[in-house]
Amino acid sequence: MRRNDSGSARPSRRRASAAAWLAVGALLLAPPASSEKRLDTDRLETSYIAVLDLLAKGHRDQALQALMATETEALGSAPTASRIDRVWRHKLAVVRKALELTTPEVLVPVIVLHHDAYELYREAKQPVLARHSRDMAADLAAFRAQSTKSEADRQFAGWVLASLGASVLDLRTSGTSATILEDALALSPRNPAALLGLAWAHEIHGEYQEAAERLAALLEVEPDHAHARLRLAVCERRLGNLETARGLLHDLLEMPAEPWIRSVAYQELARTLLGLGQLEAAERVARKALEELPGEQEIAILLASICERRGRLAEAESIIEGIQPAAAGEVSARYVYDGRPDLGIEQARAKMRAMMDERLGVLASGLRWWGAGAAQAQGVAAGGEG
Amino acid sequence: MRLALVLLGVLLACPAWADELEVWIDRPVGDQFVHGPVQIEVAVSGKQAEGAVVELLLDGKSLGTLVRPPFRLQVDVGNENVAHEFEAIAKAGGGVTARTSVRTPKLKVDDQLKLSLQQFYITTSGSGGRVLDLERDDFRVVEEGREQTIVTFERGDVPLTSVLLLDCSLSMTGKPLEAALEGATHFLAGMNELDETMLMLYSDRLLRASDFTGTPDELRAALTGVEASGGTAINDHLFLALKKLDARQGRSVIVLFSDGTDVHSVLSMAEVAEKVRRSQALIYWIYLRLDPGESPDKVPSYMATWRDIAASQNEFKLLRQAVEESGGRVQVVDHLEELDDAFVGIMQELREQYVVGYYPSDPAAAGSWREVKVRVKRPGVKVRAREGYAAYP
Repeated sequence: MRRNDSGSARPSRRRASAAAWLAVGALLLAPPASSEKRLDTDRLETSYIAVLDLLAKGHRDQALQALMATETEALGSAPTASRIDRVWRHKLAVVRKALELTTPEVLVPVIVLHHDAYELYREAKQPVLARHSRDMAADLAAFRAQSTKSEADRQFAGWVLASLGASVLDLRTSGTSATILEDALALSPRNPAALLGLAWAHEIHGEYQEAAERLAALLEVEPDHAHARLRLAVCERRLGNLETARGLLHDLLEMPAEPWIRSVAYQELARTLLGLGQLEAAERVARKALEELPGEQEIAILLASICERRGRLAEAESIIEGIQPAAAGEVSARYVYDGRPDLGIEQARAKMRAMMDERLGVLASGLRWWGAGAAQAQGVAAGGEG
Repeated sequence: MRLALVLLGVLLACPAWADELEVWIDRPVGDQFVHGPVQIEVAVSGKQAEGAVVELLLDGKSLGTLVRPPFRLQVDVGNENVAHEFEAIAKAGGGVTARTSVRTPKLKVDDQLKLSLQQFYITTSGSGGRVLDLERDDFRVVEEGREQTIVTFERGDVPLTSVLLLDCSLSMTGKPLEAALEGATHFLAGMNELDETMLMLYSDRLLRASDFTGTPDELRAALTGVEASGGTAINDHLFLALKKLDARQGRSVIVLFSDGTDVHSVLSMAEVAEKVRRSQALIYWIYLRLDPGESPDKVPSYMATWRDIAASQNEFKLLRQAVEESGGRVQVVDHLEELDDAFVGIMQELREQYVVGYYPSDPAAAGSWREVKVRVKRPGVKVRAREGYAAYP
């Protein structure tokens, strides 16, 4: 059930449903396809084992380099769907052997390795290899969660997928990111990063109702989430639910929140009141905002425009005269709002890596069958000295 | 008799240089209300008059310096019912100066209905380019279907006050920004003695702003060391520029440069369009599209959390509409090499405009939109001018 990256007839991934992990499971349990012509499958498997061996020994960076070298050699820059599939199967064959000897815990280091490789491929602008690593990490995480039925494992999988989805969000190709984040929610319905990330993806596409639903769910999990409250209010305003928006923004401004959140909240409250035809109340809000946040250009512009609408032209002019250019590198609160939200992914990634470190011993056990072949394989894996 | 003695005493007490340089304002005449375009005429006499220059001020603000006679200048004082002070300072060699002033009053309140002079800046073109030999009688102005009587008419080079509004958002990084700054520099090089310009560099925030100045060197200095960063807030900064021009008299122009549509403004374009309608400023939009082969009318697609594709396209259309309603135009630029010509072409166009003014025969209700059509009787001449105006509430 992997995503179809090259347009072949393979069904694309929908969500981390039972079918998805069953498919991964079936591949983990089934032997790889036997006839490989152009792909040197023995070399691939040996190299991949060497990669995992490096990881098991705690050489994460070298393992990543070796993995990227191995996959780059195996897939090239424009691989066919069938070649990707074959590479995937042979790597899974190695993982399957490790799994047979240990427990699903052995998957954790493999998942994190591919997660990290995804980030590096993205930085290196290698989209095909990036997607391959991303799919491998996501599918293994989903498989592990579904097979153990543990809530902790589901949460782990949720964070892996949320982290991958967050990276895709940066590209603003929300179709893919939404799919991954929905997968994350299927595994871990209360994952705040997935809920906020999905809401953001929906907002970009003008799907305010869907965004509002995700944000409302997030506020049930974390009622004091000021950022979620702000976004929900903005979505409600766009949906025409002005009174609801007003209530949310009013409550938000009673809560502690970062200055940029307060700035946008004031702006949106004033705009909501304008929408309700309450010019005087809107002016009061804008005035209070400017007192609290005197350097906020947008608030000054908004206040000046309200004064202008109320016929006080000279006052509007005076407010405009007070606007000072921004300091170098300073961005507006509205610009921050538009950017991909901080989803708490960095903390989650740190936890993922800690979990990986704790399970390196399991991975080492899983590779013990390989035994004497290790030295030879290490030599094959490019950059795999270690 | 007593007054004559006092005058004699004053004359006797004056130093010898008092009659070396004298200056008078012949027009406008004091005690008479003025509005709209006003011709200032100054005379200089005395031993030091030869080679003297005359600086003119209106309400304390310098209009510029005339360096040789005849000392005449046309200035638009606007249509507000306010008093004005015209001041002339003659300066001769050796630091000898002389000054004089004329104060024109505001009208009594019961005369104010006469004040709604509407002015239109008109660009004309024919098969061979601009048409520059039209006379007052060649123009027709029709407001809400009614023919209007043109009471003021000027042709050619009327001083202008402009705001150069330059997009320095992240998408402008590198050559686009370099080309834009160079184009702006050439625009500034086309400024005349009495023109004044303000520079506003913006992204999602106002990054840099100069004062209004008639010194291109000061403005060029403000264009150095600019780095692209941040998002795009066209609407907010267009409003800002319009407000800055509110305080200025005479012909006002905004040259907006941007490579995209608005993303981050707190104001919608619909709100800013209302302001455009109340303003007399001409807006020119140099739209750096870098998409050769596409139709000039193509509306770009952009999505952000603040606006989805449809809303973003709507903002784009409203901006284009506001620009055209103002009497300006949208200049689509598909190659960076065309930017210079775009900036210079706008300055050239501004130098070749006609100005007509009239008192509406049917006073507008406050806030209402009045459709105005400016036509030229001569066949084959196309006209571009503001499409109407909204009366201030």
